[in-house]
Amino acid sequence: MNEMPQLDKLIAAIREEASRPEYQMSAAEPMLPMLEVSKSTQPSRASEASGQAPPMSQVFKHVDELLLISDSALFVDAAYRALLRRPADALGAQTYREKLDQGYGQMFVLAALQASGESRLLKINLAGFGIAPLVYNGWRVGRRIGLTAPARLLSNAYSGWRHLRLAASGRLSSQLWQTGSRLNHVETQQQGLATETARRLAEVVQIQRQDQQQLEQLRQQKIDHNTLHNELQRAQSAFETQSRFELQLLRARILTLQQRALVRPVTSALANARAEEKATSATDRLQQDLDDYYLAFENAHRGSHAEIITKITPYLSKLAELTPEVLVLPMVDIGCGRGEWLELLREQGFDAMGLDLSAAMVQHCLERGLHAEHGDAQHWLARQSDNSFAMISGFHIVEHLPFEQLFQLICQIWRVLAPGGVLILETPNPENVLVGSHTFYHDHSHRNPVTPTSLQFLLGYHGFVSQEVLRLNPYPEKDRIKEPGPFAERFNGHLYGPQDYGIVARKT
Amino acid sequence: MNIIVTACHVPFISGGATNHIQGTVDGLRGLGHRVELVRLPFQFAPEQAIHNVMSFAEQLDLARPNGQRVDRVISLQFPGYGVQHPHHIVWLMHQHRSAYELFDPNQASPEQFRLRDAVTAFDSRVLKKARHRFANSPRVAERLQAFNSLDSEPLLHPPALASIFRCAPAQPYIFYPSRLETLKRQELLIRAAAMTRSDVGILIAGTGGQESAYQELIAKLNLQNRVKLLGHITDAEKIAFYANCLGVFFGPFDEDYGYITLEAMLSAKPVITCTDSGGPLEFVLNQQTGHVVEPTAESIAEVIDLLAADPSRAAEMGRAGRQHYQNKNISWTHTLEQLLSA
Repeated sequence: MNEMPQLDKLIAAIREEASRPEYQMSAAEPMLPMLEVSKSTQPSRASEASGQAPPMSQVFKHVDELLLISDSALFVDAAYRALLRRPADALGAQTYREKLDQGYGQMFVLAALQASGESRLLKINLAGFGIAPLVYNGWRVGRRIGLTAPARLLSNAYSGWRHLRLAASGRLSSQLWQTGSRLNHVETQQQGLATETARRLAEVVQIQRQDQQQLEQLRQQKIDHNTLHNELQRAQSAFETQSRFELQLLRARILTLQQRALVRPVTSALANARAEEKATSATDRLQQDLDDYYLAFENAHRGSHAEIITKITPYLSKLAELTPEVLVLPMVDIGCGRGEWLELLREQGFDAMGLDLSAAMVQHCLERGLHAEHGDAQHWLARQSDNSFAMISGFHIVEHLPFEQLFQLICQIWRVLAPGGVLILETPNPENVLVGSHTFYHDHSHRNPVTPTSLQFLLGYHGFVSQEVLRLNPYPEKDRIKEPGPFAERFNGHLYGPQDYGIVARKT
Repeated sequence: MNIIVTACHVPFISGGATNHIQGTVDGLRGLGHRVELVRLPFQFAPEQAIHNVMSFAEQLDLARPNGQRVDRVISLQFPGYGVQHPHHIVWLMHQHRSAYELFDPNQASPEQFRLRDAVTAFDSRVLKKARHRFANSPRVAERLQAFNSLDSEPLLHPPALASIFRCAPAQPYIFYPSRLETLKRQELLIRAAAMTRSDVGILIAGTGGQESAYQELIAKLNLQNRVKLLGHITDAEKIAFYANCLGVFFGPFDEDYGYITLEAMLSAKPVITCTDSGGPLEFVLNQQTGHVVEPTAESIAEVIDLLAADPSRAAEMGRAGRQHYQNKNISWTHTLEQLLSA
């Protein structure tokens, strides 16, 4: 076998070559007609996408606003409404669209409409006609004396010039610029936070070092005092354990903050856009009522907020084990409910967002300042790229899903988790007879209990070879049979054992 | 003219089809036509979704929507070519492949059998009505003839950025840019790397479902120093990697057309392809512009060693490939002219 250590160097050299000017190809892309360029930024894009004209209520103040509409049918209609305060009639629309097809340009249509008696009666106040009326009159004269072609060319040229000027005016790019400066601002803020955290990390390291130095001094002085010596050692080891955990979390925080500085503005803009979308479409009354019911049910049965936070803390230690490469990636909690887990993650500085099918739950999370989206996990995950998440969790979701959906969900999760990332699933534990036969059915949206064996097999089947099962939340001690013996032990195990279990699976 | 182009929309998945669709639309607009692109949302599963979109397409009458004049409809993909129009031109990118050459009767469920029969009947019925049928490549025309007994005229088009490809002196590596999928068979190339005797590296660019499997295979064969997965690369990088390579491997299973062959020829590089690779076989002249070999790692390793042993011969083959491309006179102007004259 020939070893080729040079290959990496070669790749780097070719990548460098690709960054040289002769490889930059923007100029060679296939040309687009000019009107198309403005299409992507025009204000009426949303209405055009739905195939409808801009709303009747839209008031145009300047000719340039009309010039931004590139589709000729929509343009003619808008021009009618701007200058005649009515939709275009069939004949008029046909005539002007033919003119546009023949290359007269948009300014010609506007000038012609403005020159009509109907428009003059209405006394419309629309700025920015420039020399269009002059050009239009030129065309009328030209037509009479048989010089249609040059007059058309003049009209066309004037329209072209207006478009050029419009593009150059920067009107189209101002929005982009604003977004850019907002992003810069957020970035600066996040960098400040990152610096602050780094400073604290340095302090902890400093304190640890000082502590070690002091211990060393004490040893050198050989104080022959066994009790004190032992005491000191115990204190130091406790401190070391504590500070290692803190160090790990702080390290995770710095990485997360750095990452967030890059990602957050975009995701929150997306979230805003989606929230708006939802506000208009959430008309389903019954769904809303059910959502509210479920929130109330959760409040009554899943225990207090503080209790739940205590319950989910064990999982946190699993996250501190993630490698730095993975830690910079985002985390998502599927079925985030009231957001307890998200809150705990946020307290520890992780960048996590939640998904929930219930608008009421999402609202609840948003009110607590958490990042959550309303939507179906399967669809949401399908839009995410491969290997892009540090952690995906789902607390008490698998028992709500038909197997077909669960199967696809795990398949998607495997795809989007980064190698080294973890999946956390928690569900009621049917090994406990009381759970399987009774408490499981408190919740009407539960379908069927999911056994640890079947869930482990399902995860293993999709590739999760490294799995750990945590059995959690046994009945309180007072409920158990006190008499010792194998019978009581088994009885206690089946009836009063752990009521939930969690699987922490790692993608290798 | 007022022209409607129909195609599919597969959310968040893009590939060669995107270039083809966009190239057609931009080109027609460049010629001064008013062009609307109508895309039907398409999903591969469940089977019922495909039945639904077929019947939707077939019921769509675009002769005079809302009284608007439509002079032409040009359809590129299944099932958009089901729409009705008196002057309907089909330029077939490919059929629904999993109902044809990728259909495996030993693995298929009853629903898949039912879908296959429905797709075959749909294709035979609606494609027969088109005023003229073009195929994206001779291979696609061949399949249409074999499966549906319908003739069609192969009509080629250039890859994106065709004017920018270039050639530089060969560095010792074989290049293969493509999505990392089973059908693209990067595995053959990786296994071949373990058998070559020459000092030639293998650079594989692209992302896809097989990425981790390929990474594991490379580790298992202990080829980390010989074979590199470059992941996603930019267009500029792609052109540079083509320009500097010794040769290009493109050995997928039964490809429709395959821009990679054309891009390699434009970069004046020899192409290694396989006897069952479909599209590339129309372009690669064995021993003249590249090598056509059995789809086995051994035979691929053998021709890689041949290229490495005689780089000047390899360069000569590359130049012959570029000449061969130019002889075919592939350009959007020519392609669109053909398309509109039908």
